Amino acid sequence: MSDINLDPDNVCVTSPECASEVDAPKNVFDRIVINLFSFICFFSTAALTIIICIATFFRYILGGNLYGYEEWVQLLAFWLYFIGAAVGAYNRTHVSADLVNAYLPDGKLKDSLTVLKNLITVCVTALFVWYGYDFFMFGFQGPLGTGIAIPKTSVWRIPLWVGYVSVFIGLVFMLYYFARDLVLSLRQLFGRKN
Amino acid sequence: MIFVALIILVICLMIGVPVPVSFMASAGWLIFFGGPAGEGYQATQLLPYGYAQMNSVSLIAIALFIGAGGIMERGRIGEKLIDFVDVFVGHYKSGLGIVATISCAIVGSICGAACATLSCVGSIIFPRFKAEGYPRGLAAALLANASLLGLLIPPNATLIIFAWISGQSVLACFLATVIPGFITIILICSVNWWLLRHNTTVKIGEKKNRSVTDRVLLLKSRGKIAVPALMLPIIVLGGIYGGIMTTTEASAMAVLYAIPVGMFIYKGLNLKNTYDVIVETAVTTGVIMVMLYCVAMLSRLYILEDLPGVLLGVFYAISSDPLMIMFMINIFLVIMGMLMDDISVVVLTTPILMPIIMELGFNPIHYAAIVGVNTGLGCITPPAAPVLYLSGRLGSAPIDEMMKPCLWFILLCWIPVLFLTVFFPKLSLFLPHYIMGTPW
Repeated sequence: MSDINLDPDNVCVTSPECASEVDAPKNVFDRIVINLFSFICFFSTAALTIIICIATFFRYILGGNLYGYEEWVQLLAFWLYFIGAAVGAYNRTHVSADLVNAYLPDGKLKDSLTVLKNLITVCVTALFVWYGYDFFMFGFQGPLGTGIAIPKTSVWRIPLWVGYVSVFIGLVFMLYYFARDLVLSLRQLFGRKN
Repeated sequence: MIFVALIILVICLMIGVPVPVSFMASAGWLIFFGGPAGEGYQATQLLPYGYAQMNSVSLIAIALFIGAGGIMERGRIGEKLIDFVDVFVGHYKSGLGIVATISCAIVGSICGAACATLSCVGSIIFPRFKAEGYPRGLAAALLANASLLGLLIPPNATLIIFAWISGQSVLACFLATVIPGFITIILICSVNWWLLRHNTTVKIGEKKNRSVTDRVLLLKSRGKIAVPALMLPIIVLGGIYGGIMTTTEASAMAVLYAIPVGMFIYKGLNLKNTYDVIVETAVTTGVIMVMLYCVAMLSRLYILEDLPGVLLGVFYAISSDPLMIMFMINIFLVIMGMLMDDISVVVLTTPILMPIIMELGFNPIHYAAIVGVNTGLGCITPPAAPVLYLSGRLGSAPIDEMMKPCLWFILLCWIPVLFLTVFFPKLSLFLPHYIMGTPW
């Protein structure tokens, strides 16, 4: 997915090209994170495809049932969604309708609005990172906060925090890359001549 | 407080805050200041609510259809489909336009996203348009419009999301857009023929001299090559409509089938680009899904604040005629479509407008078809018309050359189809009623 960029010569859209247009990670930290996340995305998609196909084969060909497979695919799906979204934040491919920015000429006003946009993005994401931490800890420590009666899935008894942590990690890295954009926009604003 | 939350949402969207974060910002305001007495809402319930809503196997179909679309493009499966369709109509003057339109409908029905369809078909067909001397503005406008057929010819991500948010049957929503989709195909092909009727630059060359025997031979040779590619829509559409597979299972089968076909038969894929395309489509999926997660949280808060009731009050203040209100809703959807992409429009408007639609007594399946056509219209209407701009870029056509033919397509294809869909509900309810027994 994409920015809805109004400049016809510079459009990034809902297509695989969008992600591939982005530069490869330059620093070591980004390289490790993005390569690891890319592998998680690949693994999740591949595993989802295979598990669902096997379940289909069991159901329609063998007439059986792959017991509780939904629990695994839902778990994998959350890792795919949130890790994919974190890479999307790195790639700057999150959907946005950048109307004001598109119609403003380059200059202080445009740079200031970009800073404001990034500042709001960082503050709001930080708030939800906090909620995401609470959410993860609820799953990790249980409703009493003692590590007893940890919520688990009904068939495979997988602790629910395994899925919750993907939400938290995804939000943390989205925050990290949004903060990177904020720093870059601040540099642009204050480094500009005139 | 709900108005402040809406204003925050609009401002955030306008200054370019990412859509999911804009949703979070609006939700954040309501968490602190919402409620009847401004006491706010418990934030601890919000993320678990979104998680529970997203914990759905049917949503995984979106991820896998996007993956299948990417694999089709890189695996040269789309190219073989286009070559096959070309045999039937390629020898007519406006034949390549028809080939492009039908190819977009077939590819769009599998990958289900307009821009993915456009980049898949466009990368193959634009050089052919150029070779045949098509006006570049017309070619780009035609492909932009045709790529939106994926929103109407099911399965597609937009309708899966609509069904998920509105609590309707995915299959019924799919079936509702089929007839409007086919009408759109016919109209796009007709308008393309009409726009080319006096054109002298289009030269179809040796294709014009194809005899019946040539066409049969060509059908044999290209058909043989295209069989593996043609099996993909058969597996997906046949599996779903034959009641053999669920949408999610069909999407997984599409991915599993497309990889070996693209890798070993058409040789467009290797290990490296298969890995890349899966990662890239996973990122696209993640971006969409986080938006859905955020809208699940936000729509709960909007419902608690009775936003649909407030909006209905505004509509009733203008008119009490349900058709008039439906007309206003259509205008609202088109304006939203002009500002955002298709999925964002559905994600944002469905939870708010669905209770109003129910209250007015409209059939929700009928509304699914209206949303499908409306979002298609919005996607090619500036200022924010991502499909139009992408098509211009792929076809190297300046936007001013595209605008005139695009306007003809809007006036003669999309607006008539929207009119028919809104005012003749049986058009969209016919298939769901006869196949699934849904009420009229």
